[in-house]
Amino acid sequence: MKALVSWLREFTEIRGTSAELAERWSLAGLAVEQIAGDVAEFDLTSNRGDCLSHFGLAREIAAIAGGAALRPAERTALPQQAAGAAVQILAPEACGIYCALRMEAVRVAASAPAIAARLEGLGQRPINNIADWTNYVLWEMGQPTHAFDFDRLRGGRIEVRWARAGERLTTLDGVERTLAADDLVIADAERPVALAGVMGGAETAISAATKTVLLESAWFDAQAVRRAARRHGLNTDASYRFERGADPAAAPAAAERIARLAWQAAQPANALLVTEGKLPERPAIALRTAAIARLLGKELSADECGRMLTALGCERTGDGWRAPSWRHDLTREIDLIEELARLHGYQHFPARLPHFQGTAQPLGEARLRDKVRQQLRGRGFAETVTISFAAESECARFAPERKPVRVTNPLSAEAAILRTSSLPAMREQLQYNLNHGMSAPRLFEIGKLYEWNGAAPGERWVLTLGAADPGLDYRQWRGEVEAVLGIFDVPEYAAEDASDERLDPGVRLGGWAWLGQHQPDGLWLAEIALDRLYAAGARPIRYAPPPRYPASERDFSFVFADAVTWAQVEQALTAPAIANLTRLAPAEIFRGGAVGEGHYSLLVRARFQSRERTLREEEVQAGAEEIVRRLRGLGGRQR
Amino acid sequence: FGQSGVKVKTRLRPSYFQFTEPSAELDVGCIFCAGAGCRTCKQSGWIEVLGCGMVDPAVFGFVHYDAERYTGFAFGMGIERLAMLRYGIDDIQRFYSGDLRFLEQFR
Repeated sequence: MKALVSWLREFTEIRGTSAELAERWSLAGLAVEQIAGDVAEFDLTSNRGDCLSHFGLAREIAAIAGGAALRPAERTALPQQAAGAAVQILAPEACGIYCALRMEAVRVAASAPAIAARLEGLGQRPINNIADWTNYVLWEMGQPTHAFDFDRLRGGRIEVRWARAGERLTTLDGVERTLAADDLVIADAERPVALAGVMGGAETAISAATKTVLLESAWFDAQAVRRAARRHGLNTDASYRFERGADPAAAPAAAERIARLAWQAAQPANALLVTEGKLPERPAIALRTAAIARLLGKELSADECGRMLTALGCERTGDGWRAPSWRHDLTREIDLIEELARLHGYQHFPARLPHFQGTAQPLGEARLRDKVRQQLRGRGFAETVTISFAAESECARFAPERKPVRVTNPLSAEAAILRTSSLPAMREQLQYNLNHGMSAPRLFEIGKLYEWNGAAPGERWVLTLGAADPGLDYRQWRGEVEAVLGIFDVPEYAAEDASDERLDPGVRLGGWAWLGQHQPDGLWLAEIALDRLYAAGARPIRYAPPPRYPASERDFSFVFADAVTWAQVEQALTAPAIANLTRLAPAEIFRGGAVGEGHYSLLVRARFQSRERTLREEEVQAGAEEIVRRLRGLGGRQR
Repeated sequence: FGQSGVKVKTRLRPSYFQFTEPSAELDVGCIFCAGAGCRTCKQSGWIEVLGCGMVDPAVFGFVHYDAERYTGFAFGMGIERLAMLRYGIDDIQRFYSGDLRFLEQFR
């Protein structure tokens, strides 16, 4: 909210440098962004609609100064008459008071220089004397008013009512609008002439030909104005103030203020017609001394509290206080306590730490998460964060079976769901790095995936790895993934070939991980079920003393058909167990040459060892023969 | 800020949030202009870093806590924002870019 300091000074004394004022007011809750020359920029909170004018700000400034003198602008006291048939409020709950000021023999002309200058100082454009009075009083008092060309009001009367669905109104901005049954309108005898509290109609606007003016100064319900403004996509200085709660007492006061301005321009107004609807109630608020001390941690004397509340315009009533008509935000004891705290000065409350009973609870996952980070950092991965919103099509490519959680009002199609897969985002970040000249990026992310489980959305931790490196091959990539799995107490899992058009080569390691090389860009990706790993817990150390007795190793060179996998070989040699066989590994594999097409040669290395004694040669030989027998059983041919 | 040895002015001033009453905001002295006023701090010399306040009794009401028995306080700060102020990072988007030239500076 922009304000001219010179204009504020008209209403209350202001002393101090710009910096001092900014500090003093900000510390009391009236935040100042800056004061440059005569222009002050305030950052008002949404509950302080009463400060949306120079007089409102001055009132607040005077309260902060402890109840300094406040000089309202001059008004012309007018005899108030009941409006009778001339003004009828047919929606009393939405219009608490309607004041109509008639000005005859009006001369529409340029504004007085003083008025034009102040409007220009605020960045407003002067239009003509009538329009400018309404604008001036809006910025001075915070009360929106509207001037109608009285001769264009059919039937010479005003109704404040709800629109009838389908009625039309062309507003001042030239837009023809179709009204709904809960739009509050000002209407004449035949049709709507203004969207109440929002914008006047074009047909009844002031023009050079206007002779008689009907000046409206009213109080409209915040909800009604907000509804109409939102529905018609309008946001005016008037609607802004009504939406934040206007001061009903300001309605007649603003009319008298305009009458004064008109008189100064030799255009007198006659009577002020007033019709009342249903004004909001201002109940008494009890304020308990004990509550003040309990919430603020400091006792404030009854005298000081009384002074501060009085300075704000509150009135004592019985045991409690009544808030002034301009403070819609003060309705409860807690609201008054906040006022006391801020006027007393937050800086005057001693700082203390609350005492805390209990202990900090360790999060089981935190240690495991750190271990994961340590592993991956050690392996040259950098930790990154990606956005959880994603495009449905990209996630569906990687996780078609997962039902996405949709965003109701997405910012874009790229952010339409909460992600069911973290791989698209990882790809993007790897690509970003490659495009900016990084040669072998390696990234990991500990993040979340989101999915509908039955009736509700669910979320779970996922670890995503990504790398772009021409030197990487499948076994190394799998090694990175298994290094992470090795942190956890993961039971044996089967590795299944999952190569497809997405990852090729691609593999699933039980339900723990899906990894492989993305095609066609060659990026290495892995999605690891971190939530399941956390649940499995850390791999316990199961100590076994190093073996005392020597081992014997034997190599077996066999040719197999391509269809025979290592998993099958391993299965064949370990179930049932062969006595004293402690280790089995594929040592070498090659194709081509003497090995026929559709076949490969595999070197299997076996280790025999006993914990009780050195094995005899016959025992080892028996084991070796068993291995040969079983490998032949798989169709293998020994070389 | 205190632990890292960076000296910075702070002030707690009244504010408004719908779920706290009384409400407050904590400002730190603008690190870009040392309080003189610049574009970043909109010429005020201060940067807001956190909103806070006593939990509004109405909020306790919604969760069936007796506001006469319990008080509470709440505060929130943008962690990226704090990091930006602490390290002088120029653009919040960098946190989500995955740019290694950015990530590797924070070893």
